[in-house]
Amino acid sequence: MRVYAYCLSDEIEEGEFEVISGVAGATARLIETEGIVSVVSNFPENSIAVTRENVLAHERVVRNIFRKASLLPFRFGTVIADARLLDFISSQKSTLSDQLERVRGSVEMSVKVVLPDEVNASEALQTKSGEEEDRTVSGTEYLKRKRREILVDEEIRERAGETARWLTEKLQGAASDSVVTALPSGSTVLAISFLVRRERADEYRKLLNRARAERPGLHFLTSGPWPPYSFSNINS
Amino acid sequence: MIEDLDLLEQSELSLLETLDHVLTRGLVIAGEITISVADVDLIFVGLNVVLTSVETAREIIGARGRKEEGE
Repeated sequence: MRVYAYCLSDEIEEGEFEVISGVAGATARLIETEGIVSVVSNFPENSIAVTRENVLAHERVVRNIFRKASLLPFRFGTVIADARLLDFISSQKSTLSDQLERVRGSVEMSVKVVLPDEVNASEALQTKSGEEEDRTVSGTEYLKRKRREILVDEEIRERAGETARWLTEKLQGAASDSVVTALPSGSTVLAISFLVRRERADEYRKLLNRARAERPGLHFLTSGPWPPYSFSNINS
Repeated sequence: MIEDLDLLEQSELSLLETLDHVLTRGLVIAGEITISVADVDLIFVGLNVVLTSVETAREIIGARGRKEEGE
């Protein structure tokens, strides 16, 4: 039978599981193997549409379980034969148990930092005025521009790396782990997620606010607490 | 949930952050992500974060397609 999979946990008790509706209006249910419970719902289709309704249904089910249990959320779109899901769990049992141990009692706190883009802006201006002066671009000029683009890209990447190291160091007192989920390439947004024990969330916020005050030139977008989406990759 | 609002409306930010987490992160069983990109809700299009999400999804679908072709 094909199911849509939401998350895995080793802390869910059948008796405490609340009935909740998932994607396509199907009721979420539990299947268990080797002490690891999967939260799934029946899903006969081959693929799932990326709609607001479906994405929010996925997140609603995961978050509902997350209130009471540590878990590893699946990425949106995991549609799988139930037998294959159970095989996956059996074959990855020790890795999954390690991952569950790593996130136990913790939440994910996410930060996006928008780096100042004055480098980008001045570069764009230079290119534009250059184009107005001579419409036909020589090979040498083309190569020069390409080279400039690469340098700007490198500079943004360097600055992002430095910002990531700085922020990670500032928050290491409250976070047990962190992962940089997006380094800029073509944009100037740096994304970092921190794994924070529930009881240290306030301390994390305090440290984050202190760090923000240090660098008023940066824009921050902070969100959380999340189920540990960024700490559920078994290849990491 | 969202604590900084200097770029976008709170509801938009909240949705984008949800998309970023739910669509691009989380446990993946190789070859078992089957989303239909053709049905991507229009509300999601046009913002960097979302495009990144859709790109990631396409890569997975592409990898799956290649795997199936090879079988």
